[in-house]
Amino acid sequence: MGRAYVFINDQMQGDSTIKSRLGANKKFNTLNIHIRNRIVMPGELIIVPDDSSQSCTLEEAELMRVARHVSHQVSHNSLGADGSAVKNHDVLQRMLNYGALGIGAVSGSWSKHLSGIEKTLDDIQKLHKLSLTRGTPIARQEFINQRQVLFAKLDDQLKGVARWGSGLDNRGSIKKMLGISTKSYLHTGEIGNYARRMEGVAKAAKLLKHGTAVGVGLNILSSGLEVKEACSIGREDKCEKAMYVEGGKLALGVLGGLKVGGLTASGAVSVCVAVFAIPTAGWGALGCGIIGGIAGGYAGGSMGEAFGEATGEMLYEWKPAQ
Amino acid sequence: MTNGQLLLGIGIYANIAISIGITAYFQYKKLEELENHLDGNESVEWNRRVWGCGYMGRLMRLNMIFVTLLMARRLHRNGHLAKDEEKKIPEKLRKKLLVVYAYETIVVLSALAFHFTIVSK
Repeated sequence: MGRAYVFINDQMQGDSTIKSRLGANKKFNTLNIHIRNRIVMPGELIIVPDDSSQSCTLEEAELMRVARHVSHQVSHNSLGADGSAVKNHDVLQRMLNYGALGIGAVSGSWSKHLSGIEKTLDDIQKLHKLSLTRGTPIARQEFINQRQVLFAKLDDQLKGVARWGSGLDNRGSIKKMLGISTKSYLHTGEIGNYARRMEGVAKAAKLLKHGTAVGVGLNILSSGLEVKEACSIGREDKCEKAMYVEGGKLALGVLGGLKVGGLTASGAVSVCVAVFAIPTAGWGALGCGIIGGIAGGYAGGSMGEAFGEATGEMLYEWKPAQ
Repeated sequence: MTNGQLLLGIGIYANIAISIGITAYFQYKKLEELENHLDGNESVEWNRRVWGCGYMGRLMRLNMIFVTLLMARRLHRNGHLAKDEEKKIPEKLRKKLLVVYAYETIVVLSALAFHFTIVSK
């Protein structure tokens, strides 16, 4: 008896292209209802049915559920039509897993910083709206003064590495960077590009806020999936071995990521203090800590994972026979 | 990997786990005390406000105090720390913190050496 399987779509293409390439039948259309009559994005799952049976098996029903969920995630998170997320999946996952452990501190601090930028942008927006409703010369001078204060604040918030993740390029005039002009405001009723920029900043802040939890969660999830896959093949020894190996990788990977990430964060700050003469208060030290944390977390996590894998294999071989 | 090498590796990673525990003790039991000794210091205030009170936030705040102790002369020379300000922290506590970080560094360097000489081969 054959069995259904799935593959990951690696490029943006119409569902009809996929169907014609795979010689789709009625069952294929039923199982792939999640991609019907639309462009299929990279990363989405395509189910190739088990043709030995016309009815839908339990396994196929499960695959449909997973494929629907993946499609939702791809569209919800805007993973990009260029397929880079799929092509670099391994690297991205590793960076997210262990990098997030090292960078963990960022979850609180950097998202707070980005929220601060968001607040300043919001204040600028409000000030623009208010001044345009008043319109007197005194009000105009007051507006210019207040805007100057807010621009200075934003400029400070975007200095050096502090602009990372904000999507704002702090070069030249802030007015130009934000796309602010009174003329365009009057014409369109909103500050140019404002919504897009606000959305970008808010999204980055949200993502960073959950960095560590997402990293650890993904780690546990990927280990669980590996074990599940090994166990679904039906060979008890493979399943048991996967538990040892994946368990070892998870435990030591998290330990290594946490410890090395934490330590290299402080090491990087020390180096920055010594080389660039920065103070331990400020965005420069924060940026150094983040870079050190990511690099160390990634290295420590990978290191722990490699030893965890070897340990799991050896422990599995050592275990007393039942 | 031989059995002896495996045991060595387990020993190193057990030390990593212990050092995470010791650091956590400092993060949750000693951090406020350390910061109180440096009350009014710009770095302490700024880092407390920015990093917050989560696990990683506390770790980074502790890291910054360690960097302040380690680089005190350099920070003073650059005008970021008053002369002998770090000495407001009792000597015993200062030494304890430095010993903890020295232990962490040794453990991490051992893990690195172990990885490159044994695991990756």
